[in-house]
Amino acid sequence: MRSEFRPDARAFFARAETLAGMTQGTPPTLPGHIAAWIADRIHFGDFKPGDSIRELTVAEHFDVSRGPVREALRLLDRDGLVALNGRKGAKVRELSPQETDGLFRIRAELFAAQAGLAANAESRDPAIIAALHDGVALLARIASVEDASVGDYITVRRGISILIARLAGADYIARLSAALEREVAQLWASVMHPDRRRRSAATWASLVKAVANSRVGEAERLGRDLILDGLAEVQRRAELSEDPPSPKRRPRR
Amino acid sequence: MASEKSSGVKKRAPGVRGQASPLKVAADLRDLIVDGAFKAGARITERAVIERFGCTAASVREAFHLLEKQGAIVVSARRGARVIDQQLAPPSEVFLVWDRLRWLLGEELRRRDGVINDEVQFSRAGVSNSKRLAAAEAALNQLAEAAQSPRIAELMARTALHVMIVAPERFDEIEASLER
Repeated sequence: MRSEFRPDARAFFARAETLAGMTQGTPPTLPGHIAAWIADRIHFGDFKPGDSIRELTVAEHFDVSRGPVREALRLLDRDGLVALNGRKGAKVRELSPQETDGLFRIRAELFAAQAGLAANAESRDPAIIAALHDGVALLARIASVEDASVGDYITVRRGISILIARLAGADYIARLSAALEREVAQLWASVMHPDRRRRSAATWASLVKAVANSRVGEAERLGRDLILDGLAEVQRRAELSEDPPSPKRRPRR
Repeated sequence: MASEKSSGVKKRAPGVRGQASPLKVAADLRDLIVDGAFKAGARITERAVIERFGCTAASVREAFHLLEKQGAIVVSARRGARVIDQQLAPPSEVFLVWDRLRWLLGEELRRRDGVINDEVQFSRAGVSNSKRLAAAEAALNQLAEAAQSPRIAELMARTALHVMIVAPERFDEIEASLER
């Protein structure tokens, strides 16, 4: 399991959270804590779409009763990460190509809106702009390491998103896009190969530059492109995995 | 889409318990919210729901879960269930999302050569909020099918619900954008 993080990735995320004023909130409840752990396992590719998550196994891992685990799975069901499966537990949700397409296109519009608002904001905290520049530099460094963990890359990306959302000052849209992002995040692990990471890190850098220099139209376009590029990659991957003719199975007699 | 609900009779006979399913409770609660029985920001206690619908506490929790999924309420361990309000859903942002999604749905419709047969025309005067919302949702479903974009329509329905709760006086803007 890749639960180890580079210290700089984690530190950047913590800095982003602090700057965005997200750390003063109430500490997560036990179900919330368990839900976050399961979500990370899904996002970093340890739990794959369609995998069963058994209440008992998770309860044993945390050394708690099944009650809080059930509540955690309920939270994840609400967020569309898992589908509840009666009394037995839940399954990691499987996204159809159509759902994936829809989710990415919606995210592209919402993120474009956020990027535009961030670039257009009248007063901007210089500390946030500075952190954004550091964030894309760190992202580029991680992208240049061939075997960097997906978790590190995603963590830094999340930090940058949080900061852009903060600049945009549109919490409703931010919450909506964060929720949609969580739903598709199960696909990241499979598309975050080194090549794409480098390309994507470069676009993130241009986006931050456009935001910092108040170029609204460009920020919108880059924000949209970033997400739609992810969609193209997911679709390309799906085609690749379907294309090679599967070895013919001999009918059993 | 015609609703089967007979008009107005919502109170259950006292003593009938455990009959209302979570789905039914959630649907009725949602109508109560958009029709103004629970205003934006209002707290909804489990007890009030149990008394009104004569259902079990487990059904109420399940209904809350469904309503939270739809975006009508937020549930927190500490503060219970609350109807969303302008702070959680500022009208300016809600409409920004609506406009973007409406545009996207149009794009998808074009991309897939979707055809809509019926002209949508809403009746507004003398119609309850819950009925107006249901009519908008029906129109959205039709658009979603033509555009093969259920997810966009689902999110638009959520956005429309938010408008109806936090800025009902502006719901005609939603209707107008669907009539186009």
